[in-house]
Amino acid sequence: MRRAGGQGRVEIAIKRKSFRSAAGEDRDVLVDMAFGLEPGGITALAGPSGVGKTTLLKIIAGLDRDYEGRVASTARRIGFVFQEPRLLPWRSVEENIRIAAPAATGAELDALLVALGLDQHRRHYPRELSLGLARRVAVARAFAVRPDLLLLDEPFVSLDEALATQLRRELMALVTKDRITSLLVTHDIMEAVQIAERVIVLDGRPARIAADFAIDMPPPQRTPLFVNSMAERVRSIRLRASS
Amino acid sequence: MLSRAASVAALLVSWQIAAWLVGERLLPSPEAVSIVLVQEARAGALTLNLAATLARVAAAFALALTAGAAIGYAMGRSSTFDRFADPWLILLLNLPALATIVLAYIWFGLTEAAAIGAVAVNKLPNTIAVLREGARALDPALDEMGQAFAFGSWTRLRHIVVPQLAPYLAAATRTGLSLTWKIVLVVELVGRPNGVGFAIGTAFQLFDVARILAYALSFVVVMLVIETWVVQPFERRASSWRSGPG
Repeated sequence: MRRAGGQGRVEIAIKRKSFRSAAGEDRDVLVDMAFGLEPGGITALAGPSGVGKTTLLKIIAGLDRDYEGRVASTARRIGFVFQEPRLLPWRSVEENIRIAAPAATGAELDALLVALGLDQHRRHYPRELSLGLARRVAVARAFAVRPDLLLLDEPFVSLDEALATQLRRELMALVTKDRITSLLVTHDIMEAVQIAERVIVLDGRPARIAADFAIDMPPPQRTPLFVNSMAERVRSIRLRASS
Repeated sequence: MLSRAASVAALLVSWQIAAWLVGERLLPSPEAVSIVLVQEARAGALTLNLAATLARVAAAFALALTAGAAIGYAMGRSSTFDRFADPWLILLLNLPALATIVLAYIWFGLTEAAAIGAVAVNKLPNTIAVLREGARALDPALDEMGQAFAFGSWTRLRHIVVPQLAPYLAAATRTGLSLTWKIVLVVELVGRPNGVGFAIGTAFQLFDVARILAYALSFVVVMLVIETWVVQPFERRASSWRSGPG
């Protein structure tokens, strides 16, 4: 199914990605990892901590080129939300966004800051912000570049649940509005089945794709009951994969 | 502020007492020195010599800081280049200042370029060593962020690298300025027709201790002014994000 708007189409075909340990041995992290991302929609990349999700995200973003295989992407601009906000401590909130997105107009920036509840914090420096606010700035920065491909690495980790839920909703609204191809890395299965249209579960060592399925119901219509049963289903898949 | 004034007053008093004890010929009193200072200033020689020295300090310092920052950054970022250039750095660090100066004059003649070049070469290794530490301490997470958002090299330099190197640049400036002006004086003593070093050299031949002190102290004052009005404001500006909106 093709949707209008989004440009980012990604084909991932990684034969092998390994890290060299301190002892000098090569340890495979990812093996025979192949999937594609269609333009538009959120895909969640779930799996236990340390399974290689962040590594995969960095390869897709072109930050890590030391692997066997190929990643083909039509995305011209990538928005990246790192696990830590990674703001420039010596620049204000507004400067942080402007530096990353010099082409963004004032009106676009204003709309984004309002949408994420940051308009009161334009002139603040990152150290004056709570973690929740800093995360919002990181999200605003990623959207400000008008990305074709949005990569999110556990953007809601270590926030309290109410705040995480609110940020998830804001993120979904922004992603849905522009039909941006989004890949969300999370270890939280509930989060994955709450907001994603497709869930890819990684498991094992080296990591393989344990499950890859679409959730047809639009995220706003998903009831807590539905989310719970979906999460149960995913957990059972993982149990089977690891046994 | 009060304790600083008391400190200066104590210095003047002990200087005066010492002058009484050893005699005006070896150590002229503060008053005698200030009289010479006013004479030199009226004749215009003081301004001329101070300006000549200051210009040399500025030129040599700018040269050493620019080249040193570039080389230090490269060494901090690339371990291959670091291994290659490290023996050169050790050689430079241990090369006697006087040898560099004399050789520069022999090879390139008694010229301004040779003088400034020799001073810059003396200051260079220190800047390289300090900036190399700074480049090694650069945050790889911010580097990755800049790469992910496809920052251009100018944006990366201006917004990611330089703010992180600013404290190291300030440290290199602070230690470098005093080092540079002391070497500039030697360069002037050996082979320049003006400057504080030249004036002190002339005074030495005439055994004019008052003039030696007058020049040395007035240049200390000039450097204190630069430290207070240039270096410290730069440091404050560079670290304003730590304490609040700048």
